[in-house]
Amino acid sequence: MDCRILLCNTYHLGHRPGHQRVKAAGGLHKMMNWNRSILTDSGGFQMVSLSKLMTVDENGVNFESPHTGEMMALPPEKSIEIQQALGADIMMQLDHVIHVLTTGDIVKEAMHRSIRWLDRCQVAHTRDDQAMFPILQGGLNLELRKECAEEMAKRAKVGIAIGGLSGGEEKDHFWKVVAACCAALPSHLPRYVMGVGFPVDLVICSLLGADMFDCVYPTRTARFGTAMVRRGGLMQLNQKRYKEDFLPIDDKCKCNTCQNYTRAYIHSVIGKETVGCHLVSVHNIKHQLDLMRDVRRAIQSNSVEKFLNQFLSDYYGPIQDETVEQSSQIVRDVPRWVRDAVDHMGYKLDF
Amino acid sequence: MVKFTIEKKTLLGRLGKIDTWGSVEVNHQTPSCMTYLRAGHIPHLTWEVAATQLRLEQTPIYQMTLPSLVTQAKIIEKFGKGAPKFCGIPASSAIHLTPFDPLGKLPGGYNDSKSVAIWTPNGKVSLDVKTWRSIINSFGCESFETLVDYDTPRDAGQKKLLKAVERTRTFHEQLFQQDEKVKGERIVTLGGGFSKYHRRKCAMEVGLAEETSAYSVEFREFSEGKEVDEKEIVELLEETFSPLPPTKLRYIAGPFNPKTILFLIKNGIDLFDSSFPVKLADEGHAFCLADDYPTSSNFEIVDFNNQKFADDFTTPFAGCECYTCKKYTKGYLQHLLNTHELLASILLVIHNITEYDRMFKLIRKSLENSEGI
Repeated sequence: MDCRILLCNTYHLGHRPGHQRVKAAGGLHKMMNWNRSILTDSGGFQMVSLSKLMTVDENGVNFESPHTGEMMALPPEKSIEIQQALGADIMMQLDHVIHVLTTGDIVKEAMHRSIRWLDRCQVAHTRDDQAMFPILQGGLNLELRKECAEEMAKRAKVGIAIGGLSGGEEKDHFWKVVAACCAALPSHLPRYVMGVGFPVDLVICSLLGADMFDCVYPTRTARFGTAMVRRGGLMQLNQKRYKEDFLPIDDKCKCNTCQNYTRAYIHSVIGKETVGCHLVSVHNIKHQLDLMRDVRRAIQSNSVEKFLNQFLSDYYGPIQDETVEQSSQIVRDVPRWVRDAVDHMGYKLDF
Repeated sequence: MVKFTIEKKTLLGRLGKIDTWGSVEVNHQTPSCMTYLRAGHIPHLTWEVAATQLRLEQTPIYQMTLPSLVTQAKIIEKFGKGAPKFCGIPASSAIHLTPFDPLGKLPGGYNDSKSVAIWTPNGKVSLDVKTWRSIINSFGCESFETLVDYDTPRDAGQKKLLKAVERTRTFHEQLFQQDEKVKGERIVTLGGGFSKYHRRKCAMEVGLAEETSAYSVEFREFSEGKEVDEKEIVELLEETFSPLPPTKLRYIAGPFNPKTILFLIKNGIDLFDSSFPVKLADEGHAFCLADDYPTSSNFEIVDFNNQKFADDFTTPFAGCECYTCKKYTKGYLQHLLNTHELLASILLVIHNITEYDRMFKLIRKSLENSEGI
């Protein structure tokens, strides 16, 4: 499948087996037998999302461990110490994450604090075989985002991330923030939009100028029996309609699952045998890798508009089915924000 | 046909070779085991993983178990290309179809004169001869087993035992007396429970037909976890096989540990299945044969759920050549089990099946070096 980079979750690894144990095992690559690239997050995001009692002060994030109930502190130095023990190729700075819908002075404070924490992370960063990415903050305020981009770009050495999104904000705000950040950043730094996402988000963000993404969605949804498909978006294989459907998930997909299995077989094992999870996970990861490959090809060959028309009409069209003539199908409404983003980039949709 | 030849008989068991399984050339030496399948897969392994990471000593003979597929039987029939293809099994594999899952539950009291009960996650399915025939034909495996009334516990009375033998005989007759031909090699299942008399009677009632390719002995009451009396097993097997032609392949399904396997081989059994290693993996356990196996019958079972392995980053079993032992550590297996990751089962199944496969290789080697009788 040629997958090149994995994201490993610092918070979960810090809890089990513990970062000292990962270090004793020889680092993440060795422990999990993966000799390609790995990125670790700062661990801060899960503390915000999983901890009921979370406070932030200048020292760092303070949170109640959901496991022991103890109050714990995670200063930027500690986050880097943990990530250096894990030994990923790319580490992330600890940033001050606030909920994306927060407004007022706190947004600005969190942005400035994230810059100060970036400096502390860089002091704590002692291993020279690991890169560290800063994380842009600034909520939905485009001015703050711009200011943050300017400050952090000065400090970034290898790449930079756009954080604080994918938290339930309006899509209309989401794409505009990505667009503004990409416009404000120098072109030599790879831009990583954290926690994105769904196929349409990947396509739009890539065309707006983003380069890297991460999301648990493809494998998480696979375990519940949902396959990602270019034609129709999502295929919930546990539905009765697939019981006697002898087509592969996607007859154009070259993944091992689509080459060897029918929707009917996968339907029959979902929730019963672990191979059901594995088969759909393989397909979904291949789907994401193929999609990004096609985006790269479209950019390389100057055929982005053609690609967008095909991709969006497929994505918002029906699921491929033996009984329906593909060419005569109605395309569901393409969301307003997608049309706006496409317009913004100067492309035209034929439908 | 199942072309089987006994190459050597020793006091420790018989050494044989299966040249073909149905139409598939396998050149598979015995004693050995079929590879246990559930839902048409080695549990937890996709066929891609099985093909790339599980290296077995011989061309496998797969044991396709029905309970995980029986609710799909109509759909597989409609599919029209057979159950192996439906389940994504590599083409041209040798596959045997059995109505029972050696790791499934099989409570007593549910068989009747027309059917035997098998159990799915959604409950009981009564399998009658007509349904079984149509499943055999639509699944299209190389071989199948005849139905047996397995409900013969230790406390079964004469009447119950006799009825069980009667039913087994009737199921056998009905399966073949119809106009519709049953496709595939016939492996005749022999029952009779704990009674020497009924073991012999059942063998004589169903085992003498010329078309019989091999024998399967119904032996679930003696599998892993049950209390076994070795003398009793010797006598029951003797009564079962003495009236039958001695050169046919003998197979027993079910999870058996390395010690019991040695004992059953000594008593003339040629073929088993790999449900034991899968059962261990499902419990988070891995096993390893003693260095002097099969001179001794010792083996060790390691429970990787145990926290004591958390800081042990050495190979699970030194000397084991499997993917798991080459690439991962005890501590990582412990971590995967501790966090309920699906990868734990994958890695444990790979190790355990590899070790079980190696066990049979060691046994065959010791038979080769033993004196013939």
